[in-house]
Amino acid sequence: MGGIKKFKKGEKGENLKFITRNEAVKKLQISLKIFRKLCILKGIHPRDPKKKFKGKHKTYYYSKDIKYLQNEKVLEIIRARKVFKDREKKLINKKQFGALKNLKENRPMITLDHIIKERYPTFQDALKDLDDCLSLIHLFANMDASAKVRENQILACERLAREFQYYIIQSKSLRKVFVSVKGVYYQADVMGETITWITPLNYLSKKEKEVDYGVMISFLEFYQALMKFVNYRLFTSIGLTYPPTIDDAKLRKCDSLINIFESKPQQQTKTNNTTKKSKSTTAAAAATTPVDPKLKKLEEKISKINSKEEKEIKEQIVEEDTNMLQVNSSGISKDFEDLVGNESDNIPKIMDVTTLFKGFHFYISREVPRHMLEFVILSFGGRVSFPGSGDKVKEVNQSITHQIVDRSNSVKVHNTREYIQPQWVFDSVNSKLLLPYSEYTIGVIPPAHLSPFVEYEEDSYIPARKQALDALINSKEFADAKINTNAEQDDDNDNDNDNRKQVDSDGESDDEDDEDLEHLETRYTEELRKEQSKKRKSSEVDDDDEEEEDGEEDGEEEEEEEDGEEESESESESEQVAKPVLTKKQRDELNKQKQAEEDTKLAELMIRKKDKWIYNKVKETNQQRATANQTLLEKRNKVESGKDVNGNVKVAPQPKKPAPLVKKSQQKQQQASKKQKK
Amino acid sequence: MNKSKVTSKKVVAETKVVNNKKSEPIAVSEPKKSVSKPTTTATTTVSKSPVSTITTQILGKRTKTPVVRDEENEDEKLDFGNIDLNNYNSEDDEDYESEEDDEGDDEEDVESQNGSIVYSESEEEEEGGINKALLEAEESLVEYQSEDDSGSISSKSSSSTTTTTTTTKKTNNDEEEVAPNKQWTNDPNQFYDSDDSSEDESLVNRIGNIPLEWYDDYDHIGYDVDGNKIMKTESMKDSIDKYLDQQDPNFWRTVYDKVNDKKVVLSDDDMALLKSIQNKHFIPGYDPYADWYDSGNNHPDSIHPMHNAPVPKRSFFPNGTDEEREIRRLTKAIRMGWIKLNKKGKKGEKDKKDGNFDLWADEGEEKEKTKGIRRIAAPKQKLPGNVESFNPPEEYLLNENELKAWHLMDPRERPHNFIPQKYQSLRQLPIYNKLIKERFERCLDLYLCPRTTRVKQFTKDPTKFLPTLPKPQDLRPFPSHEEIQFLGHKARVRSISISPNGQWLASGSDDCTIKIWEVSSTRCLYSLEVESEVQTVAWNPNPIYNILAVGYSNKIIIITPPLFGTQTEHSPETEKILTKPPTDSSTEQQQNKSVNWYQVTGADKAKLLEKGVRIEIHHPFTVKNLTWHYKGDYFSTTSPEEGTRSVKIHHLSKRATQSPFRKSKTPNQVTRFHPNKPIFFVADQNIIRVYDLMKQELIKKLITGCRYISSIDIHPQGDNVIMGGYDKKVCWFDLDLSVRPYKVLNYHKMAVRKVIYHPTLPLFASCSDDLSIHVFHGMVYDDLLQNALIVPLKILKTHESINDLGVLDIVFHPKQPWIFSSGADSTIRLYTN
Repeated sequence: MGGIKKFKKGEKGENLKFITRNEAVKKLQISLKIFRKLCILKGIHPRDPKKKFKGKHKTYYYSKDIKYLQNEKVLEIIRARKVFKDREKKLINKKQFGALKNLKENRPMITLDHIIKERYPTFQDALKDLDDCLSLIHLFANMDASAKVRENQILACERLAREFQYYIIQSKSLRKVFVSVKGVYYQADVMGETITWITPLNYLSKKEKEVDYGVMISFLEFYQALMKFVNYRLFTSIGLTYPPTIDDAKLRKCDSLINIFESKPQQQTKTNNTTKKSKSTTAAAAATTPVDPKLKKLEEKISKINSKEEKEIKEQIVEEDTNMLQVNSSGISKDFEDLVGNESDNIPKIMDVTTLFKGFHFYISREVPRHMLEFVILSFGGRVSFPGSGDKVKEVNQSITHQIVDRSNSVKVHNTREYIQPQWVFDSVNSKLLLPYSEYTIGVIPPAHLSPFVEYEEDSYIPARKQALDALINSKEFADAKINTNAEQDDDNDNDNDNRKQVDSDGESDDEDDEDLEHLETRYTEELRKEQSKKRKSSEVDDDDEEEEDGEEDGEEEEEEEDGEEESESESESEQVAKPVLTKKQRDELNKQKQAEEDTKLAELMIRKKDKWIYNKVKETNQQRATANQTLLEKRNKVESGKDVNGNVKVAPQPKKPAPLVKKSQQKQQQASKKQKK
Repeated sequence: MNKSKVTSKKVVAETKVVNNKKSEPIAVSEPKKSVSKPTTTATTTVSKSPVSTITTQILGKRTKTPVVRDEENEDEKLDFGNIDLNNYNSEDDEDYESEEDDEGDDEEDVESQNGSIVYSESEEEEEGGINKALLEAEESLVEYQSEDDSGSISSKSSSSTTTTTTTTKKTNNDEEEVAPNKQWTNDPNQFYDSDDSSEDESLVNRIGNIPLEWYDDYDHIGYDVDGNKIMKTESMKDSIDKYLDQQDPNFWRTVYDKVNDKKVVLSDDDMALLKSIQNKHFIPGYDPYADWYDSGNNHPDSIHPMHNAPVPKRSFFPNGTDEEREIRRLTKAIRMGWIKLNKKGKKGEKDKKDGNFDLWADEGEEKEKTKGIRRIAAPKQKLPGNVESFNPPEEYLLNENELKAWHLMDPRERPHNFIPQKYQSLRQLPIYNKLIKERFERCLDLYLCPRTTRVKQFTKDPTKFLPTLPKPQDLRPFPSHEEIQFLGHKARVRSISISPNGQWLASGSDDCTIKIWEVSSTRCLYSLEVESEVQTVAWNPNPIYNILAVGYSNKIIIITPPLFGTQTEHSPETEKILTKPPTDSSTEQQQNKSVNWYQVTGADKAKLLEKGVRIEIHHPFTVKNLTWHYKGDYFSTTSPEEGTRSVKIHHLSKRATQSPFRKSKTPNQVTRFHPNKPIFFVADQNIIRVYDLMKQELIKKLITGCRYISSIDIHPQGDNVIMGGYDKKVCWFDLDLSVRPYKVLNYHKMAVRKVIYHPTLPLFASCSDDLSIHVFHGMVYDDLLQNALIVPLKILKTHESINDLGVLDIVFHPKQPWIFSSGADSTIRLYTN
């Protein structure tokens, strides 16, 4: 059969697998601009071949990618569009506008569904890659129209974004929120996939100069198509019809997220007609809860137009809808409301995350960025009203349990509700429990807002707030376990309507028996903290201590032997005493350490060239991390000692009222734990 | 009639071809039988009917078969049913070709060929219409003779060969004669039938289609079928006879037949025909208004079910007017909007267009994995940390210094692309317009960044990558700490050397002194000042001699240091080797004039003599390096400035000097003698050459990969070499293994000054300008299979740096695990275990 086939140069081998960008463009016979767009749509990215045959500084594509591109449907359409444009131009010049109109109707349109199917064979694949898509769509939804970004694109983006948010609310799949200087990060758990996206906090009206909007719009085109299919799937998965009918007028008026969606869950609309005929009349009569104004309007219209019989039916539907609205936003009866109000401050509960705000009615003040808060609250089961909202719930409404304010000089008018800063919502959501309101009330500088995305490891720096939150969570868990025993304490507060007073009274009206114990404990904890901070100063390297209460309690017993009252002196003394001991005991250890260091130093000499790089890299990163932690700790110490980061004494440190309150709440838990132990 | 005959023949031929392989004789016999039937009508039907049935079978188009079937011939018909229909058409052409070649079937050949001609004519006529037929008829009259020729010949020849065929012909002819006044029909062959009959009748001459002039000189005009001469009759007539012929009343209708040399009198019918043609009337008997019968391609009389003619060109053109008109109508309608092309589709289609459908509806179905290209998913963006918060813990804010540093930093190197800020309330958080740019950059990353998959090693413990080595503690003894300093030099100490018994340490310094120290007491016992900086000092390694060689500027001096005050302490061997040999000196000097030996004598040099200087050797250039042979009689020097002859070997007892290399290209830097063999190592800037001194040849060339060699040393066993370079490298060569380094150690941060082996212990050391002396355990095994074990033991770093110069020379104590070092800080230090 002949010998081995001889290949000429360039016929076989690794270099055929890759093709430079210029070659690719030449092969496809398109312009670079179109090539870029195709790459964006098809998700083709350059490769990094091991051997760069055609030059080091060239971009290489996988030649199979380009081969597939040759048969791409979109490419054909792009070519057809070019022809179309020529024709259009010709007709315009000839002023044949009738023909032009007909021509325009036949404009070749790019459809992307096949590409989406090809790129994401399964729905899960699409979800995995949704982060960038959502971020870009949300960005454009909050942008100003211009010559480069057309208005309809922005509207489409806004619509898609709202649709997705609506799904998140309905499916209750939001998990984390983080307000950063760049925007708001959301993390949701959609069908088992963790999706994170960022939305700008404010409306971005300025244009960036260094940005090529064309590229972004190419991406946007693809993402819009993708988002549409994803939304379809998501909506149908929870029994909603897609596309939902969105009231454009309301969308423009920035109405409530839920209100703009006219579509109702399919199943419920189906049941509407069949069941609950008799119920509806009674429900209509007893409807004290606010009804969707839109529905009211609808009702009126219907009554005008239709005959009475028809009217009845419609009414039923409307009432069903109101019922549903109650389910969605959980209309609260007054009795329940009180309960809600009472359990608020002292013993925050760890609940099912998705129903964190269930039974709460938030009133969002004017100055607060509403969309964000509305989205978050709704997705955690709360109910939202705001000035100018469709449901016309006034600020004076008794059903409101929380008012979100962002002004230090605003006044508390209603005693029945909590006045909180927006950060409370985010922090509560992230820590999965309702945090004490006292730290977030009007006029208080709220505690630090931490990123919920950080995973703390052993050697990573843990901010004080995180430690405090952890402690709180632990204590809550403990309290939950022992909630029955502490139930008596809560009874005292039931009658009080004013939460502020509650807070104050909490501190004062503690049982006398417990007072001494508490006092002791507070002292202990203070001492402990001081000691710990000192330890940190002295030996910042081994910073294993956390302010977990269990650990503290263990530590207490040991340190009780020493004198707790002579804090600073005893500390210094002990150190002095310890030194000779250390020298004796640890000399060997030190020597050993030195020896080990030397050994590693020597071993470094013999390290293989291949390993050397990574070894140095790892070492460097470790070093960097350590130094970063070091600087953070130093700064923290400064801050804790009442200075700012630069070491200057703060000019006007605002009084931190809530701090002792928190401590008290902690003390209570400690107390409880002690009781338990005893 | 000819036609019908031909068709029958044709069928015969075809059947024959079809049944070729099976039974040829039978196939041939069958048509014969059919042909031999007495009635001609019978034969024609026989020949036609199968064909027609076949065509109907094949094409299935024609509804009526205008052929009367004869019941008698049903047998034959059945026979034809055996013909393979599929092969029927395709083999037509082959038939002709094969039969033309085949000379054996002469009769059938002729017939078939003839048949084909006739067929094609009829074809033409069919398509051409009536006018053409008339024209041809005229033609046939005009070229009457020539047509007759071929026809007559063929018929005659066939009749001669096979009697059966002739009989058929005769019957045919008879038939013609019987029914001369038959009606004109639409059958286009009718003219030919009649013509053929007349041809057959008159065709006598068989000379074929040759010029008749050839027979002008002969009495005969040609030959008949039997080969008899046909004698000329008409042409032989003279003018009188011709004139007489005019008397004939039929003369006006008499035509001369040239070929047969005959006169033919036209009949009344002929005349009528001619007359009608002349008057442009229809042929008498022709009914121009007869019902049209469209034969199409499948004319009942056509011998093949499908014709073989090429498709005419016109069939490729659209049928003009109607289509054009229709197109015009439609385009106008479209243009005017009467017809709407893209009406809004059905609801489903619209949804599909808008993208409102489940794209992943068929997700659950198990699909074959498409051969897609494996795409690398883009890495997700890094999630924000606490720093990015609008209200971060205060320690995350930048202080003044950090802020300055942040501004100075390259934007790409910044830990985060924003300045952390703390806002007391959400309301105060400003617009972050850069988000657009950040998203844009992400977009760019997504489509412009090359992606590769790498196995990332998540580890925080860098010690994982360190090699496992035996503990240094287990490899004692080795020098581990500084014990003694020898102070006294005022400038950098370039070179040190220890006496073979380990008692004395000689040092040469830039302060132009040579000092000898007692190791145990650190006392300087001897000091000699010379004219310039001392480059090198070296004790004679042979313990029986007490000789120190010192190189400075372009001199070498041999000293017998008077370490105990008197010279009598010196061994007799020393004296013996230092006494000048009486003879040969002149010859030696002649050999190398550039180097001169001088015995230090005389009063003017009494001082030197007192100091023990015995011999001076003058070189043309500065001596940089000096090495003794282990026996102590030879030493070699290098003076790199000299260029090609930089290496010199001196013979002390003979006071002779050689420069063994005449043509070394690069100046040699260092030389070494093999510890127990007559092998000589010479290193130039980047290659070490190994020479056999006995054979005077190059043994090996060690490629170091180093750019500038500073020093080399040979392992006491002689199989391993270490090399230090000014480019921070230390290489270990195993001579048995390879000419390339066995191990390259890259631990020094600055130029390596010196590398040495311990003479007895498995140690080696290197010193560098980075002030460190690295002591290694370098175990060489006797087993050749085992590679040398190299373990770093200790880094000694006590010297101080002056002018970027660190440790300049090191030397091991000959017996103890001690190491001496001299540095630019003008100290000599001793490190002990």
